[in-house]
Amino acid sequence: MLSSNLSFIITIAVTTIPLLFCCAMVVLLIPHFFGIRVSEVWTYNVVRIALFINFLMGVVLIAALSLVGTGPIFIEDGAWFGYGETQFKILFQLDVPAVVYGVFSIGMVALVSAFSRRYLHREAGFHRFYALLMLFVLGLSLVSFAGSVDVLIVGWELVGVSSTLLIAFFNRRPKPIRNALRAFATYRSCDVGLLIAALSLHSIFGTTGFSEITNAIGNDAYDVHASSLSALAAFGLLLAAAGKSAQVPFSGWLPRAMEGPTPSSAIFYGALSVHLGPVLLLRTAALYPGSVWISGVTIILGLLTAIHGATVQSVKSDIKSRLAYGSITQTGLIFIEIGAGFHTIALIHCIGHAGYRTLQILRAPSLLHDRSHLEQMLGHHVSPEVTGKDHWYLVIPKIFYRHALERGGLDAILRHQVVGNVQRLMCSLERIENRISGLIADSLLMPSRWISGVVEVDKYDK
Amino acid sequence: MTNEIYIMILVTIMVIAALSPVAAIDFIAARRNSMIFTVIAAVVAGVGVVLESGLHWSINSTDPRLSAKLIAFAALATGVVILALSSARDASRKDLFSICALIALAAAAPFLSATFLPYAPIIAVLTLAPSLLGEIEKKRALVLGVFCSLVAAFSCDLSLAENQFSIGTIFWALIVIGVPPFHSWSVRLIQTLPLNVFAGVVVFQVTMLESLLGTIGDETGLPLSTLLGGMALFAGLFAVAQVDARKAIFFIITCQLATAGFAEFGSEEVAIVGSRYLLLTIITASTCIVLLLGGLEARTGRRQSLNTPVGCYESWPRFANAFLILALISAGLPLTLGYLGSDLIIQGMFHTHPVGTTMILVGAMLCAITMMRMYLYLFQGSAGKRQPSDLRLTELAVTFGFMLVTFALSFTLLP
Repeated sequence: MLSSNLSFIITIAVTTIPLLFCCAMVVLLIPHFFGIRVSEVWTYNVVRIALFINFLMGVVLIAALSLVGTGPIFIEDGAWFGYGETQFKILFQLDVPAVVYGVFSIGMVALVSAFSRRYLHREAGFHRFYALLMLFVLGLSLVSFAGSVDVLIVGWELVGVSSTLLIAFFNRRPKPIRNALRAFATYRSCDVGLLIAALSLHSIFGTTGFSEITNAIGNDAYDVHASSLSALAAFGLLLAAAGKSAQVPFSGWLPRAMEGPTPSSAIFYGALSVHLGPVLLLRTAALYPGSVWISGVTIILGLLTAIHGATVQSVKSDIKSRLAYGSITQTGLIFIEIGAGFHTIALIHCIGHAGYRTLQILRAPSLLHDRSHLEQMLGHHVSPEVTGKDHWYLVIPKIFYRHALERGGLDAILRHQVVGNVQRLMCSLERIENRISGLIADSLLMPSRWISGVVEVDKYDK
Repeated sequence: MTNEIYIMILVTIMVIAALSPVAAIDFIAARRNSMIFTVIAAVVAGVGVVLESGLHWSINSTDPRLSAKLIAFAALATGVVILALSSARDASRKDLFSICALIALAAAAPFLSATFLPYAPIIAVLTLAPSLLGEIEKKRALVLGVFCSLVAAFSCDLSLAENQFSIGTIFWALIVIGVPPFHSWSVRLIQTLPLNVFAGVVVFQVTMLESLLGTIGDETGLPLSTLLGGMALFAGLFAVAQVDARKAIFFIITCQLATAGFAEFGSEEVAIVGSRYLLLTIITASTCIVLLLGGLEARTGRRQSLNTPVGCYESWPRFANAFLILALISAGLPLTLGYLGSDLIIQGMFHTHPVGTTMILVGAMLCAITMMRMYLYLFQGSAGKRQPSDLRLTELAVTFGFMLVTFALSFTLLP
C-alpha cells in the first residue's frame, strides 16, 4: 500500500505532465491563431519551462516508483464524461515501461528542442514547429502513462495529428503535403484496430482500465465468447502498433515522412513515434497472457519487416531513406523480441535505438556539407572504400534485388489495387447516379422547355 | 408558455427576418436587418429554454418539450453565425431570404406533428427557389429536390411507423438525410447553391433528424438504423474518392448524419445521447467548415479542387488554423465534442450491432482522412502570385466563439 503523502505526490506529478504540455501548447497556439507576432526567445522559453518542470516531475515519478518497487501504481483523476455505466475515466498507470519511456521521451524532446532553436532560426514556421512539438509530447505522455485504452487512444491520436502536420511543415512544396496525407491515412486506417480493441475490451470487461482487466483475467472471469473477443482486441492492438511503427505492409509511409524538418524526423521517426508500436504492445501485454497465436503473428510480422527493411535499405542511395529503412528494420527486430516474450530486452532496444537513430538523423543534413569541406581541405575526392559486404545483393537472386528496388511492390499494390479500385468503383457509381438523376430532372423540365421553345419559335415567326 | 404560441412567435420573427432584406437598400443593410431579427428569435428561444427548465437544462434531456426548445435555440444560434459569416462576395439578398426561411423551418421542425412533418422538406426546397432560379443546372437541382421531397412525403406514413414497419417512412428518412444512393437532390444543391445557403440546409437536416426521435418505433427504426450504418460507410467511401471540395464536405456531413441516425434509431440509450452530441458537432463544427469553404471560394473566386495543393498558408494563417481546428473537431479528434459523440455512439451500439458499428468506424476514418486532405490541399501549397485576404476580425471572432462553444459543450456530460 502507498502512503497517502506518496500517493498525493505521484498523483500531482502524473497529472502535471500532460496538463503542463497542454497549457504550453495553448499558450503557443493562441498568438499563432490570432496572428500576433512573438519572438523566438519567448516561444523557446515557454517550451523550455514546460519541459524542465515536466522532466523534474518525471524524476519524481522514477523516485516514487523505486520506493514502491516495480509497480504498477494506478491513479484515477476523475472522468471526462459519462452516461450511466459508460464513462471516460482519466486513469494513469505507473510501471517500469511507462516511467522509463515517459521520462526518456521528455528528455529526448528537450534535446531536440534545444537543437531546433538554432536549426530553425528565422524559419517561417518556427512557432508552429514548437506548438506541434508540445502537442506531440502531450500525446506521448498520455500514451506512456495511460491506465486505460481510452486514455491511450487520446494520446495516440494526438501523436498522429502532430506527426502529419509536421511532415507537411514545408508547405510550399506539394510533395511533403502528399506524404503527410499518406502518413495520416495509414495512421487512421490502423487506428481502427485500436478502437475495435477498446470496444472489445468494453464488451468483455465493461472497462478498458488495465488494472481491472488484469484482475479479471487473473480471476478467470471471462468465457469462451469473451476469449474470441479478447483475441480480436489483441489483433486490433497489433494492427495499430504495426501502423504506427511502419511494419509490413504499412511501411511505405515512413521514408516519405522524412520530408519534414530534420529535428522532427529525428524525434518522430528515429526516436519516439516509431517506437510507440512496441510501447503499446508492452503496455498491453497483460491483456493477452501466453497467447501463442498473438506471439506468433507478432514474430512473423517483425521478421518480415526486418527482412524487408534491411533489403530495401541496402539499395537506397539517399541518406534519409536509408535511415528510415534502418528504423523499420530495428522496429521489426523489436517486434520479434516482444513476440518472443523478451520484454525488458525490447524496452532496452527501443531506448538504445531511439538515441542512436536520433543522433544519426540530426547529423544527416550536415554530413554532405562536412564531406565537401573535407574534400576542399584535402584537395581531392574522398571515395568510400567499397567492400564485398556493400554489394551483397549482387550474389543473391535478381528477384530479391528487384524486390528491394521496388520496395517490395507494396506501394504499387496499395495505389493500384486498393485505392485505385475503390476510386474507380465510386466514380462509376457516381456516373450512374448522375445519369439517372439527370434523366429524371430533364424529363421534369421538358414541359417548361417545350413552352419556352414554342415562345421562341413564335417570336421568330413574328 | 404553450408550444404553439412559442413556435408562432419564433416563426413570425423569422418570417420578418426573411422578408427584411427585400426592404433594404443594399446587401449590408439587408444582412444587418436579417441578423437583428434572427438574434431576437434566438434570444426568445433561449428565454424559452430557461423558462422551461430554469438553468438546469441538459443536452441529453428526455423531456420532449425542453428538447424541442433546445434544438430550436441551437438552430437559431447557428442561423446567426451563418448570417454573420455571409458577405456580399458569396451571397445575395435572395440568399439571405433562403437562409432565414430555412432556419425558421429548422426551428419549427421539432414542434411539427407527425401529420405535417413529412411535408417539411417540400417547403424547405421551395424556400430555396429564389436562390435556384437561373441557370439550367440550378433549375435541375430545384426540380429534382421538389420531385424527391414530394415522392418521399407521399410515401411516408409517420403515424404507421410509430407501431409498425413502414417502408415508406424509411424511404422518406433516407431521402431527408440524403445518404447514398438517395442523395441526388442534396448533392445537386451543394453544387449549385451558395455555401452559406447550403449550411442552412444542413441545419434543417439536423433538426429534422432530431425531431424524428420518438416518432418512429422500433419496428421501423431498427431496419432504418441498420441501413444507415451501411450507408455511413458508403458515404465515407464517396467522400474519400472526391476531387471537388464541395462534394467532399457534402459526403462527410452525410456520413455524420447517417452515423447519428444509426445511433438514434438503434434504441440504445447511450448511443442516443451520443447521437445528440454528434448532431451538435454537425450543427456547429461541420456547418462552420461549410461556411469557411464558402469564404475561401469567395476569396479565390473559384471552386476548390482537391487534386493538387493550391493553398497559401503564409497569406491566410488564421483562416488555415480555424479550418484545421474545426476540421479536427468535426472528424472526432480526442478531447473535442466530435470525439465525445462518436465515442458514446460506438460504445453504445457495439454490443448490439457490431457489424454496423465497425462500418461507421470505417466511415468515420475515411471522413477524417478526407478532412485532413481538404485542409492540406486547400490551405497549403504554392498559390503563386495570388495574395487572398485572411479572415476578417468579425469572421475570426465568430469562428473562435464557435470553437469555444464546442469546447464548452464537450464538458456538459459529466458523470
